[in-house]
Amino acid sequence: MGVQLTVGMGEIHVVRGAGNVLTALGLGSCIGVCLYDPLVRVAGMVHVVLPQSQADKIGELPGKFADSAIPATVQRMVEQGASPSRLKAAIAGGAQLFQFGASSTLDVGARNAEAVVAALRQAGIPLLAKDVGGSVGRTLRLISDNGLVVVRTIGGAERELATLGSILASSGVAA
Amino acid sequence: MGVQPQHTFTEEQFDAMREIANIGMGKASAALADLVGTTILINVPQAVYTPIHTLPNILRDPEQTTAGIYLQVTGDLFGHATFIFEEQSAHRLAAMLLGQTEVHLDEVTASALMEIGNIMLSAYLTAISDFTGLQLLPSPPVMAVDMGCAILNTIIANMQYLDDYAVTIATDIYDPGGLISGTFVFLPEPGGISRILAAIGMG
Repeated sequence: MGVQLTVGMGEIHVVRGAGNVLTALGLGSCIGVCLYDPLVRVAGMVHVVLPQSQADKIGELPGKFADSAIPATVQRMVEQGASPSRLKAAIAGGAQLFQFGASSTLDVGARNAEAVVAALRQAGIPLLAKDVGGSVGRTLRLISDNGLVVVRTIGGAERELATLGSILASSGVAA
Repeated sequence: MGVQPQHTFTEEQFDAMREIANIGMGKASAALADLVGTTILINVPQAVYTPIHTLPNILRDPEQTTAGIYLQVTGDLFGHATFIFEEQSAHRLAAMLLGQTEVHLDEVTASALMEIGNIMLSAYLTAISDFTGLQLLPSPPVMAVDMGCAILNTIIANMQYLDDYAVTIATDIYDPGGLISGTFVFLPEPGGISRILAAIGMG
């Protein structure tokens, strides 16, 4: 039986097998990170809020910070049978929502995006697609059947961002 | 950023927080009623110490398009205050203020809405200042039109909030005709609630 899970701020959810959907609702400056192992169909999503943790403040939610979120999500996926070398990623979010009025201090979104990209690079996970920045919030979904990643914005239909499990996406990855 | 003390607030202290929020919201809703010339009602405010990632659950529909007016509070304590109006409500409020029957969201309506939010948030803060003797200074407001959940998430990220729990004070605001519906949220930074409680002898 498939499950549908909502991934709240700082949360990490990992599912195994087909028929599951992971959703991060209304990402503003936050980043939703989708990770997928196509071979064993292990899908993970983390909802990153801030770029950097402080060693003593990771608390109950390592997923809150970009630098701690990626290793913690990979670890949870490995526990479900995923291999770090097969993981592929897609990300969305990091917008600057407050466009009206003085907003220069509110661009944590851009820093979040940079930090997530750096953390994925450090983990050696290919980033196949990203939809970051701009001024609109996004809802992000990861479908566990094939690693399909879809993004929705206000007033818009869902559109495909990437398919993390496609043959095309797998090419070039060492077996 | 300071470390959030693991407060175990008493029920009496939560009652005091709700009462103070009620005083502030009374002034804010009266200010809105004056502006747009209709009766405005509020629900009994909630005051809860809650995992911060669950905060967007206070919204009826997290993905619904809303207008969020947001300002930061400085002075004797730091905090973050926002009014989030559902899109149709925001349009109606702007139309009422501008004396038009229908509006589209452009720079003029945006500044009208920001002004409405600013007046309400200022009324709220002034009422709490008067009651507690604490100085609460509002920043200039900013506004976004987007999913309510995205607006709340962005405010929380802007708090640079490193702790897992926070005191949240929230109230629904509406009119008897069902035309206006919004949510007010006040998020004091760590230590802020303790200052308010101490100021009224409930610390």
